[in-house]
Amino acid sequence: MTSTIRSSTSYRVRRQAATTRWVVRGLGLIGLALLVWRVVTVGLAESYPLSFWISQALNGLVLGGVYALVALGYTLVYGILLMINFAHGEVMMIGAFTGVFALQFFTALGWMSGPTTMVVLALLLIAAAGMLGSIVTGVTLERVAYRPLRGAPRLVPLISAIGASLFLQYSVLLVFGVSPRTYTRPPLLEGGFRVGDVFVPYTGVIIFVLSLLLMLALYLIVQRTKLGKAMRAVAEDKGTAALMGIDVDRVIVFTFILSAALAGAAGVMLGFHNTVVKFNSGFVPGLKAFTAAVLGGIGNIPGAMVGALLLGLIEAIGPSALGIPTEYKDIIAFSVLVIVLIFRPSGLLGEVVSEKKA
Amino acid sequence: MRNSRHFVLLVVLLLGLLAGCTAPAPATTEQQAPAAAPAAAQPAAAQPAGNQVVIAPGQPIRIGGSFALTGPIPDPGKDIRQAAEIAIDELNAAGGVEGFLFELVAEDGACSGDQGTVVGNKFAADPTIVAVTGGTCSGETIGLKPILLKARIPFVSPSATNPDVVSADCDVCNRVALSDALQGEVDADFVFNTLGLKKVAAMHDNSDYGKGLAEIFQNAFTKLGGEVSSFEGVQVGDTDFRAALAKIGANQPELVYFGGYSTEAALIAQQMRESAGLENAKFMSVDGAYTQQYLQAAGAAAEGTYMSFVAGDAQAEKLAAFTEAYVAKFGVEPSQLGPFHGQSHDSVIVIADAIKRTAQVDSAGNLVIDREALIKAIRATAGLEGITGTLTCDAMGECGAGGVQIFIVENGEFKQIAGFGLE
Amino acid sequence: MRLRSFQRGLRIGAIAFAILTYLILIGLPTRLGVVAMPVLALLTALIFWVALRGGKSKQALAYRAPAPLLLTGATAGLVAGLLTAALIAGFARLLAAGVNVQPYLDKIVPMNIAALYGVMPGAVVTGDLPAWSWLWQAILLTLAGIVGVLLVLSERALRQRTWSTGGTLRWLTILLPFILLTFVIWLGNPDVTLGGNNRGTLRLLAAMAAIGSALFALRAARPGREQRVLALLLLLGLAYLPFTLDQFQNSVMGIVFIFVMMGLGLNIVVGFAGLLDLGYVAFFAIGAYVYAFLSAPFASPAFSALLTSLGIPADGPLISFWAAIPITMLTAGLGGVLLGIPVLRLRGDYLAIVTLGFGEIIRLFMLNMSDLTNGPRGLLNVAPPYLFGYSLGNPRDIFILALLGAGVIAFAAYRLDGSRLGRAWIAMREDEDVAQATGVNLVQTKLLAFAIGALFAGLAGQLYAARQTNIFPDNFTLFVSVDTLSLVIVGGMGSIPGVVLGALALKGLPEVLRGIDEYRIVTFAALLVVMMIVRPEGILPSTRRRRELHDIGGPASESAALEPALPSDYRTLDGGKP
Repeated sequence: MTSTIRSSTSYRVRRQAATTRWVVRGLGLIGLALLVWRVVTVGLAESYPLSFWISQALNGLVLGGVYALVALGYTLVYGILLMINFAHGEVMMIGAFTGVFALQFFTALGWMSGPTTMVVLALLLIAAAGMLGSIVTGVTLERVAYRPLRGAPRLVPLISAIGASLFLQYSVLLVFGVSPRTYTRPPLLEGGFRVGDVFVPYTGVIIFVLSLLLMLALYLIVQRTKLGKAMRAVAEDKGTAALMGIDVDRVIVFTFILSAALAGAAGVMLGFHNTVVKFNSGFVPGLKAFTAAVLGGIGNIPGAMVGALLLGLIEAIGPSALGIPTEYKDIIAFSVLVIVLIFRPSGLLGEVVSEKKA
Repeated sequence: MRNSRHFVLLVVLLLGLLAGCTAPAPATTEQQAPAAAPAAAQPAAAQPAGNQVVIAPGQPIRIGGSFALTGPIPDPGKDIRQAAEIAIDELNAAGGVEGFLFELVAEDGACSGDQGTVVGNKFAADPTIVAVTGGTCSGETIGLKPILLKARIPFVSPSATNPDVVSADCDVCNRVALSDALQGEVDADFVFNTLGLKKVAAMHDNSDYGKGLAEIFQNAFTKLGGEVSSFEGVQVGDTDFRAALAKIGANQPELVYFGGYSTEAALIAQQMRESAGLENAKFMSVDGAYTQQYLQAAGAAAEGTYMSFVAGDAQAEKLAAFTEAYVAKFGVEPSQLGPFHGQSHDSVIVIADAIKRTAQVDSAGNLVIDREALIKAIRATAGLEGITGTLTCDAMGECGAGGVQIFIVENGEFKQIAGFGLE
Repeated sequence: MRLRSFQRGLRIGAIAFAILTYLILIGLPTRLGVVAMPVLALLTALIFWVALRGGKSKQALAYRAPAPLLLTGATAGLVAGLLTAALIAGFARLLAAGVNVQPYLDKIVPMNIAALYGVMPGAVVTGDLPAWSWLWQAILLTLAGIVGVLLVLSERALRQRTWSTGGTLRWLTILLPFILLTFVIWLGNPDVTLGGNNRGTLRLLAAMAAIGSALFALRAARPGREQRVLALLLLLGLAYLPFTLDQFQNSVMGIVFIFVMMGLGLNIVVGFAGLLDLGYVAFFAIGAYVYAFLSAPFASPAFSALLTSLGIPADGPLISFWAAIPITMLTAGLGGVLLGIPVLRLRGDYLAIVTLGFGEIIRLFMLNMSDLTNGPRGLLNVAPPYLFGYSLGNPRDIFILALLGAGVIAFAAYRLDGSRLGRAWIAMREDEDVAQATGVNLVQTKLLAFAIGALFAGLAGQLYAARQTNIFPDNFTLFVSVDTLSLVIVGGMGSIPGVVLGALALKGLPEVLRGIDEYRIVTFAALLVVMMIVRPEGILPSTRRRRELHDIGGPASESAALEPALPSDYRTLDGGKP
């Protein structure tokens, strides 16, 4: 620190920074090399059959599809408000709860045991209910906990979001009780099919296909519609967008609606896939999706998709490939995140927003 | 200046609120306290005043309770608390002790050692607390242990199964739950000898309880000559275990043994059916998962799975009466929430029984409970009839009754097929 | 105008109804018993008050003429009343019809609904309810609306008078901690029966308020001799606290001040250097585990085996608590540097998620490396500190140690704040590129921030392990980081007294709120959100930060300091201009 104020040393400081950058990159490379070496010597040496790798990859893709839908919610809100919506996982959880009540309702009506068209219709309505539940939560959240904080220092909305996250979790615990809710799958969704040695559950296929479709829909909304254009404008510069006659508040609400709808769909799909919903079942997927969004470059829509699919794959394949217990899957996921960020400090695809400051 | 005005207001308001909400002071005092009840009223005070709790007429006998009401497993925690309340109601309906009624002082131990310490200090600082039922989790109870030991307050835990909870140097530590060591070994023996399976996988939920059981099972099974092909942990709160199951499935085990609670157990039972290599493997879990919740959540996948549980003699009538009272008061079947309600009820009656044997009414009509005598009295519990069986405490403080039972799920119900009480 | 008032009334009524529904759904009436409805009405009156006055400024208050205000209030009350009555009647019908609502809504049981009607639960089950009972609820809540209006009007009347209480108030602020301290000591007298069974909790709250008010008193005192004398007196009072509080109060205070230590450390990273660290718990955990290894090597299978193979006996503490301090701190500091290196180039939220990951990685290692850390079963029998053979493990001594530790760290942080390094941190926080251009060595400055923050967390961790004597990986979850960050922000970022106040509010208040056990977390969470909305700069912001927000707030005025950088559309419940 002794010489930092003399301006003649500025050059040296800069050179030092450059050196450090290469040292850090070197460390990253070493880490990467270690991972690859471990995969080659241990993981592949354990001689799992090919079908094992394929089915793990499928698990990963399904997981990644769900993460992607949630991660898009983080990314959309971040892109526009530059805030981490920490309560987004809970928005998804409430969607899943709404979905399970809708399911119980349709079961009571007898639709779930009816003809196939009836079941499909009921499933669509359940998904719609879940999305609606999430949307109501998301919009209320924005109105009550985030809107009054616009323009406050960046950490303030984050703390508010953390508070909201806890509040939603424990309110659900108080209102609906502690017992988990069960998604009883209709026979239509039960089971799966077999390709060689690989078992593919129907719910997995549906989740993957539907999440791709929803992502495509989102992409079209953002790129092709007028509101999407307004969203992009607001993300670029709120003040100028307002001067151009864009109702910033409305655009923000619309963003929350979009992100909550995706989360609600993810919640219902995850419900049918894993069958159990609890007051805290949004937290872990929320955290993972947030990681995925950062991995891909937060604020960047294709980035969230890529990041989420990658994270899902890493979580599913990583432990086996490295030959270590599955308990370490989160460690692997976070290590990959660190290594990626060393080489690309703003995520895989995230150049656009990274330089922007709040 | 503005800040301080708000603050002054806030403080005054809060203080007023708290003072206003609180109950009138009880006349309960501890004899050790400097300004305790007049010595004249206490002829027994001739001997150096022992560590006693003196309860004035009309005041309750206060029993502390440390329950995991928040934290990772609020459902079993709530069940244990409600069961303790039912036990208190029963005792009071039967007249209490010499006309003195019981009161449960429930605190949230949150299933963590951290909160266990705070709760322990709270009880230790309150001279009216006679004994403690709890804590729910082992970590929480280990947090309570040193503090209550120092304060000479005995505790009986309904559900802390970790071997470290009781120890030779702790005379206030007791539990109704059976140590994990027993269950894991019986399970291994059942799988190896009764089912005749030689290659199994062990899983756990990374809690002290689940992992401890899975390790004990693993050791016992290996000792019997079997092979444990994988040992994998999952996290509480995760809902997708397919990756771990695929890895386990690659080794083609004949059975998956899971140490943990019902939500994760149900998910594993279900996702096993969709994992390569495990389609025909059997599934077995432990007492933490022995609930209605497991049956509901796992649905059809629960059929044919095994479950071990620690229970005593057939106490059907007692259990039925208890369940009836429980449903009437809380509107929910105890087994909906968690497995330990029987143990919780029994740990309260162990305490109450010891108090009955220790408490004396002095000339002023106060109820006097000597702490040291109470600690000894709990250890001397013998032949007490509880819901889980006949309770007898040994020198280490293990008061649990009965043994390990093995169940199979048939037609959506648990059916006992082996173990204690089945001849 | 009249229609506007009416519409506003409808909206406020609907909002009040939503809040009432929530309170009924979470089972508050069951807790309240027969007085449920009047208490709820009182609460609603407070909601109406806040909603009707709109904004916080004097202008917003002055706008409201009495007559339309009364119309709005009465409408709101009537709407909320009728809707609530309909809701309760609906639930009562269901319950009377024998429908078990509980599997869907856990808290809707006869007891809950009966409390709202003020009857016995049996009456609900048999459907034996007074026919006109809905009128009772509607009237009560309409009254609440009128009370709300009266509150607004009386507040305005009070505000319009000029108060010249500056001097008195200042002295009251300065005296308050001493009054509270006296109260605490008086409550400790065993003859006092105030507060009944909750006396201990009341006393804890008073003690916490005393410490909190002491911070305000210091701020109110004039710099110079007045402040110095006051500081000395307050320090004496603080030093006396551990000796008068009981075991429970001391143990809560101990954990509060351990978190003060943590908060002060994180304050350096986040508040001074502007690096958002969500994995701060990692260093806390490192400190705790390193001390546990050193003082209870026998608890760790791998470590004790290693020691035995080296010929060192592993059946007792290796070194004392005091000798362990430099080791734990340095290990944690090293951890800080190790985390710092890969994240040097990351900014803002990227940093947040990587540090969060780091915290989780450390916890998962502790959970899974059973040989070293004994996994989820934790390390038991960690030694408390000893001084001259006397154990300092009881809550009182731990509180004293935490006070000392917090004092040392606060002093260090205070000195750092004014140092050249501190100014480099601020420069870096404001703009990294400009800071670098003016010659701040970013690498060194960043790494030092992480390392110094980590040192303090390591110390806190060691004290925590010595306090608990048993540590488990579950003690070091993400929530510890979140709690610490929240307390720094609630207290006021970059402000040292703010950290103390934040710790009292976030770690102390939940213990005071123990009486409402299952509502503890929702209350806390709601307070967190409300706090951020009402006072985003924290309770006791640093002077620098206050000045910054002051500037943003426009022309310098007393109210601008109170109203931080909030946009003009700030109106939580009311929405539009009248």
